[in-house]
Amino acid sequence: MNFHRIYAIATVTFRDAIRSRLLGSLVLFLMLGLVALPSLIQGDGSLPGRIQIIIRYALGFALFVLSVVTLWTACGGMAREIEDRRFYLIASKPIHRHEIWLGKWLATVVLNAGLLMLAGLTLSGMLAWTLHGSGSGSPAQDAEIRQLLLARTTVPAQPGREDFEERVAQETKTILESGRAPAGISAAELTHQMRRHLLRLEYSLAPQGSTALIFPLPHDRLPGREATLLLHSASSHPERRPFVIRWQLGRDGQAMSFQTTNYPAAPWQQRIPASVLSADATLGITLRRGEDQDPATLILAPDGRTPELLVPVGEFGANLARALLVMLCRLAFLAALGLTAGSLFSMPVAVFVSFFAIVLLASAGYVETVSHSGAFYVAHEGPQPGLTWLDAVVLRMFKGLNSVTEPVLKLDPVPLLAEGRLVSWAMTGRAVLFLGALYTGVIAALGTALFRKRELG
Amino acid sequence: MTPATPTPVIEAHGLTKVFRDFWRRPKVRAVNGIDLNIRSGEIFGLLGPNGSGKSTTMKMILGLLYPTQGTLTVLGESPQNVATKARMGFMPEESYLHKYLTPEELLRFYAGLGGLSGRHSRARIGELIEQLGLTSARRRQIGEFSKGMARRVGLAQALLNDPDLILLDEPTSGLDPVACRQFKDLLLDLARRGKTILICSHHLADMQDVCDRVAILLDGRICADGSVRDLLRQPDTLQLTLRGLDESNLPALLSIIERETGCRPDVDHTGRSLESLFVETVTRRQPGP
Repeated sequence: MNFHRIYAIATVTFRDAIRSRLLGSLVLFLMLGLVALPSLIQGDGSLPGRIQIIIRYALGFALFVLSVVTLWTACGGMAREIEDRRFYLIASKPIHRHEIWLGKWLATVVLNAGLLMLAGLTLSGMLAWTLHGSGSGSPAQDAEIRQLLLARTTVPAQPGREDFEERVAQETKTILESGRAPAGISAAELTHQMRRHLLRLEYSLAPQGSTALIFPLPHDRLPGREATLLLHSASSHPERRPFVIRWQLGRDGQAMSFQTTNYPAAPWQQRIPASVLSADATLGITLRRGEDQDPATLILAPDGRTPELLVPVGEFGANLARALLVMLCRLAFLAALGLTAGSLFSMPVAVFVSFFAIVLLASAGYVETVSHSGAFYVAHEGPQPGLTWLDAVVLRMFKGLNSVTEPVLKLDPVPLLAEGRLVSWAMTGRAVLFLGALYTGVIAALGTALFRKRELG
Repeated sequence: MTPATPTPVIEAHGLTKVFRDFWRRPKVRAVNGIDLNIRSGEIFGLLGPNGSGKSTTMKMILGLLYPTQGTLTVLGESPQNVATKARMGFMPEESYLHKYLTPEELLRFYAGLGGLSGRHSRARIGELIEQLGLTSARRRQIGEFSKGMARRVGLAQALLNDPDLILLDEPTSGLDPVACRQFKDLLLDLARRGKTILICSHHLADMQDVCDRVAILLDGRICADGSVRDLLRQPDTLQLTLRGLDESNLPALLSIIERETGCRPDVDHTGRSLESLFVETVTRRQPGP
């Protein structure tokens, strides 16, 4: 492999993109969309809400546009240049076919890296402008604003019972042995359902009852920054009535106590002062019901989602950079996919095949659910319907597809960034490893092999 | 001692190319078992009507298409050999060039692919730009060029690496007669320097002017091949050229020939070609450098 030749192909592709005004139009469209789209969306009027909208829609728009453009240009970069015979000349030169392919891929990735950087800078500018325009000035307000743009790691509450997992296993085993499990449900799915059920029981607040939330605090948390407790709730009573909650923060309630009134079925966010966090490596929160008359039970893990503590561990800039890197890995994969399709098919077919692959990836969530549950439909009442032979074949295909898509399923950094959650190095590493290296590598190997076999006549 | 036979630069035996449809069924037999032996230092012409297999043969020599049957070696190697391609130059029928690049940028790009770099590359690019009359247009984008100008750029990229084997597909198409003449002179000069040249063309007069040997292809087969001189020779007709003859002596001369040979010769003034008249006229009227 000769890097000079790859570089030459990449340079000429890049120059073509600039001179054909593709890059200029793309930059213009991207900037317009980045600025205009978030301003068209009405938020809840709060500054945090506004910031969430800006991040979510600006980055979501950039990722969508760049994904479409990457696939289109990658397909065209091969298919159209083969069709208009520009490759006649290039392939008649002393260059390996895989070097042509890699040069095209490199140019597409570098182009995307530049555009992502531009999107990141524009987003930062928009956030700075929004914060500046929000009329900050007082130290309290500045502190408030500083809280908004943070990278917060998610710490799920640990069940108070140390034998929780043993209990899950025991209860599952009992159900399986008693023959009460629905037909066709896998042991893994049954365990999953049992864990959700027991978590609901664990984090329930019966009248006059209490529950303890225990959060192990990360060592690398930022000093002096408050955390946020996220609670999802449901009431055992169909009527939506407020609950009075008495809070005790810190071990044995030494640190702080206060009272709130909350409605069920809406996510709660409770700010946890920095002073409480710095005290210990574990944060204990005790919740007690404050009213005596209401007979309803408040469930704090309604869908099996445990309460979460968002603890600041980094600044926004580094988080954004990691998010952009994850997005770049995704675009690198799409570029490889488009080039491979373009190596084999004509332009319209290549585009169709690439987009079909993307639709398959996008439906990976459903595929994952079906693969894990082992059924297309889980009957909650009555007997579980049996699988036809066609169901069995499709299920096997879904499981195969799921094994491919599962590692990359949760590699979407945009919602994390918008919610102020940490785009972790682990996630970034997974994106680089799976999307940027492994999947792109496999697709590139396939694409270069196809291109080497392809006749240019 | 007999002189050594020149080394074969292109050797093909039973070369066949069958194009197949989507279901791999044979669709067209574009080249049908041809044998070629093109030797070092010669200008070889492949002639034939449209669809006779000329371009397909050339693409197989370039390694762009793969033979279905037969053997093919180029400069002693497989046409797919990348190192061999460093010794080849190709100018396609259409100028499939990057229209957003200037000639200088394009040549720098191809020089990079060919492994030329630095001062040597710059010098070679400058030399070709000047030699092919592209100096005034060196910084204009190729997309703005006329067909003839684009052909010059196409030729420049083919000659960039000073190749041993040059393949030209319809090289004179789109060139004006002056450029065409210059082009043919250039080819003859390259052949004198030991370069091997393979040309596919419909312009028979041009082929006659420059080719040492030609092969005529029809339906993928070679119908005729040999040296141009041998192929065009009419053994039963002789041409006698007399320079400076006083026309008053002509009747006496004709009667002697008729009496001695029994043949009545056709008499006419030797005409010059339209090309030579055009080139001379245009060159005379063009301002000097």
